[in-house]
Parts: sequence; C-alpha cells; structure tokens
Amino acid sequence: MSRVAANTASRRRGGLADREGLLTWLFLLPSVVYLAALVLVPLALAIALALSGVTAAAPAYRFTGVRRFGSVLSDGAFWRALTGTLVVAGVSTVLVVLCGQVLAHVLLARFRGRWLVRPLVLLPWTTPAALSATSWRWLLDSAHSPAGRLLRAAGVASWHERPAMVLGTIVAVQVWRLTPLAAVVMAAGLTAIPRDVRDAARVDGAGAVRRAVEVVIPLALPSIAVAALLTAILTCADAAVAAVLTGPGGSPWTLAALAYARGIEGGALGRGAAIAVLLLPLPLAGAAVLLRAGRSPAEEAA
Amino acid sequence: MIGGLAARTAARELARQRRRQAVRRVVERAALYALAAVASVLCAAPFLWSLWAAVHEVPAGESVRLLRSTPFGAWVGRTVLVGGPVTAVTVLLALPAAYALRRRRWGGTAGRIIAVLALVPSVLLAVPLSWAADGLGLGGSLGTLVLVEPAVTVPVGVLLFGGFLRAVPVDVEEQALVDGHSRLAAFVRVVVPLLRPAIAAVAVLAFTLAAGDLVYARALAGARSTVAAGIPAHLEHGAAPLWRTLHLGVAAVAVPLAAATDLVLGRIIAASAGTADRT
Repeated sequence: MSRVAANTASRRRGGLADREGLLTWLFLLPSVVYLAALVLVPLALAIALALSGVTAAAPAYRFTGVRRFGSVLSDGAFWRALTGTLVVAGVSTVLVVLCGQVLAHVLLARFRGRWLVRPLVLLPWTTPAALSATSWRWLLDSAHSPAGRLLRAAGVASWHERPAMVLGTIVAVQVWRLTPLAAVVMAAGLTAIPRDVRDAARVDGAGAVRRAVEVVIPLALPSIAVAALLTAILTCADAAVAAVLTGPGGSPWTLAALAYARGIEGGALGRGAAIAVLLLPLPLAGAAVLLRAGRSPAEEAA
Repeated sequence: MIGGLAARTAARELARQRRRQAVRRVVERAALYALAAVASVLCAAPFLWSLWAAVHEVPAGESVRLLRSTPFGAWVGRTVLVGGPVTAVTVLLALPAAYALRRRRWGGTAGRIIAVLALVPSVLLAVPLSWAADGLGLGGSLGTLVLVEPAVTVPVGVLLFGGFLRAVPVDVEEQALVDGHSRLAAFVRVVVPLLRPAIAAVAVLAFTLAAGDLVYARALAGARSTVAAGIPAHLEHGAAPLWRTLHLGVAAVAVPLAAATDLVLGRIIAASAGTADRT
C-alpha cells in the first residue's frame, strides 16, 4: 500500500533526488572509487614493484623480472619469518578465542564496578598497537617490573636472544591486544541468542557448564568462527607489534615485520613489496573463508 | 498425619533447593567478580606499571620537564590533525554507501567484500603508496596520510553502518516518502538523524584506527610523526627516565581512547549483532 503511494509520489516529483537506481550508485560510487584507488591500485603497484629493483635511493622503475622472488625465497630470514608468522597466528588464534569467550561473558554481565572494568578491559584494543608493544617491551626489559622479575626468576635475562621467547612474547602481546576485539565480536554473537533458549535449558535443569557446552557455544559458533578468522588475519597482517618488540636493530620474526623493516624502514621498496606479496595468500585465504562463512542460508538459496 | 509428613518433607526439599540455588548464585557471582578483576589487571598491566613507576621513581615536575623535552605535544597535535579529517571522510563516505547497499539484494555480499578490504595487510599497500607519493612529490606530508587512512576506516564503517541500518525500520522511510519527501530528503532528514548514535560509534572507531596506525604513518608522513609513530622511534635512543616519562604519555593517549570507546561499546556490540544476524 505504502509502496504504491511512494511510487506515485516519486512519479509525481520525478526529480533527480528520486531516481532510486541513480541514487544507489551516487551513494555507493565515492566509496568504491576511493577504495579502488587506494587498495586495488596499490595492490597492482605492489606486484609491479616486487618485479623491480626499486629502492628509496633509486626510485626510477627498473623491471628485473621474477629474480627478486628467487632471492627472497633463498633468504633464510624469509623462511624464519614465515614459520614465525604461522606459529604466532595459530597459537594466538586459539588463545584469543578461549580468553575472548570468557571476556565476552564479563562484558555482557551486570555487576557492580562494571563502569570501571569495561574501559580497562578495552584498553588493549583501543591503544595504538605500536605504543602498547613499546610498553610491553619496557615492562619485560625492566629489571624492576613484575614481569621482568618473573622472567629473571625463570632464568631468562635477555628474552631477545631466544627464538622461542621472542615468538612467545609476540604471541602474548597479540593475545593481549586482540582478545577484547574478539570478545566484542563474540559478545555480539551471544546477545543474538534468544533469552528463552537459555531459560528453557535452565528450567530443564541444565547446570551452568552444561548450558554453556550444549546450548550457548553451538549457537554462538558462527561468531566464534568470525572472531577466530579475524584474529588469524590480523595477526598475519600486523607489522607494528612484531616490529616494535624486536626493535629496529633486531631481526624480524614475522613476514609483515620483515616487509616493514626491509621496505619501509630500510628503503628497499622492491624487496619489501616482494615479501609483502608473498605474505598476501595467508590473510587472503582467511578472508575467503570469512566471506564464505558470512553467507546466510537465504542468500545461498537466492 | 501422613499429609502433614508429606508437607513437611516437601517444605524441607524446597528449602534445600533454595539453599543450593543460593550457594550456586554466590559461586557464580564470585567467579564473575574474580574474572572481571583478573581481566582488568591483565588488560591494564602496562599502564598500571607506567603509572606506578612514574609515581615512585620520578618526581612529577621532572616527568613534565622530560615530556616537554620531547615533541610529545606536536605528536598529539598531528594525531588529531590526521584523525579528525579521516573520521569525517569515513562517515561521509561509509554512511551513504552502507545505506545504498542495504536497499539492494546483492548489498550483503558487496558489503562484506568491501569490509574484507580493511584486512589487506597495510604493509603491502604502504610500500607502493610511499613510492607513488614520493614520485608525485606528495611524500612526507600529513595530507597524504589523511588521504590514505580512510582506505582502512571506510570498510569498517560500511560494515558497522550496515549493522546499525538493519535496526531502522523501512516503514519510517516509506512514511517520509508518502509525506512527499524525495528519496534523498528521506535519507537526510529521517534516516541520518536516527543514526546519530551510530555515527558517534563509527567516528570513535575510525579515529582510534587512524590514530593507532604505525605503518602508513612511517611510510607516508615520514619525519612528521604522529603519536603512534613518534614514541617508538624516539625511545630507541632514550635513557630510562625518558622511558618512564613517555610511558605516561602512552597512558595519556590510551585512556581517553578507551573511555570514548566504552561510551559507544554497547552500540558497537548491538551493531555487530546486526551484522552477525546476517551471517
């Protein structure tokens, strides 16, 4: 009924502001053009740069072909960083989902002191990653800090020198940083579960643990999957945490940090681009799964 | 006699159940408070340590003097100079785009493809962008940084606005059309005012993302550092008192951002539930 009225109204006026198809494109086009210019064009340029010998000192484009990839692939630092990336992303994702699920319940619960707890819990997410990584580095390096004392008590005076310790530190900071984000995503999933379903389980006599395992977690599974994929993609793509933790003098332990150190801090644009291009399949695969997971049954049928 | 016994047993059983429920409730609450306390301390750990060390190891006047010996003020100023315009561009681009997508059947898929663009590693784009910016004579400038940051924030904005728009009933717009408004006017006068809370949430998030970026800031703004790029670079050759002081600077940046996000957190969760609804 109202649709008919709307149609007559638009036919009567018939101005530019009423052409729905045109309006859709007017609204959508600026974003699409912007993103194409600043994401897709640089993506193509990155591949072109990876096939060149461009540096910050010699910025003229010289095509050198796939030789660049050969030299990157024969570099030990690349393989170490690739292993590091996979370990950090895998371990971080598992830990973030576990901690995030607990934190999601805390975020949604009502209790006294919530006004103080919530902003504190959000700190890791909203603080610039480079700054929190700086703080963590200081916390771990300082002999007086609780964390530094703990490390020294465990007999680890300089964690920078042990690969396992460096990777462990990167994982710890990534888990610390991404757990609140995952918790927000999973909290959204939890709020989407109808209250009746939980109440029905409670009336049927299911305890808190059983309600969690048999009712809440299966229903929240889509949001858990989204949180896990987001964490995996963001840890793969993140350069700031790993680069700041190991410092400019240190050797990078993840691919993104290696590309950052070579391409941006080091000025070897071609080399940095080649490493970053080789990194791309990891987040791309995650994004593809994310897109598939995000498709609803209704859209699938359509 | 038997009836009285049955009643007494029933009453006793009821009391026992109530006691058990009360105990369970106390245990659940205690666990919740313990978890909340542990989570707060862990999440705030580096900041608590900064504050403790600053208070115990450096006199307040000394901290202020040291902070003023660094370009901390300029870093914060540049961060605001970049974050402000990026936030405005994000809202202006993402809100109409999300609105247009909602009205189309392929909107959901297109929206998700746009959202995924935010996940492309920034280091992959920063290398060619810095090369292109230098080639065009735009390198080392805050303007270039302002131009590039929305590539990350607009996709996030489109995704969140999409979630918020699901909560706006279509009837509201149809009514505006019946009342003689054009489509454009219905959007500007009816939908946008309804989305004011959403705009606040997206603005906070966009500012946080833009302020927190290190890679683009280093690649494009060079020596004109924002806070996120300035502090790590400056500390590389700093002595211990400078470290303590600059960590107060970190806390001074982190706390307002977290407080602002807390104000809009409920809406972000609701909007994500809106987008998750679709998944």
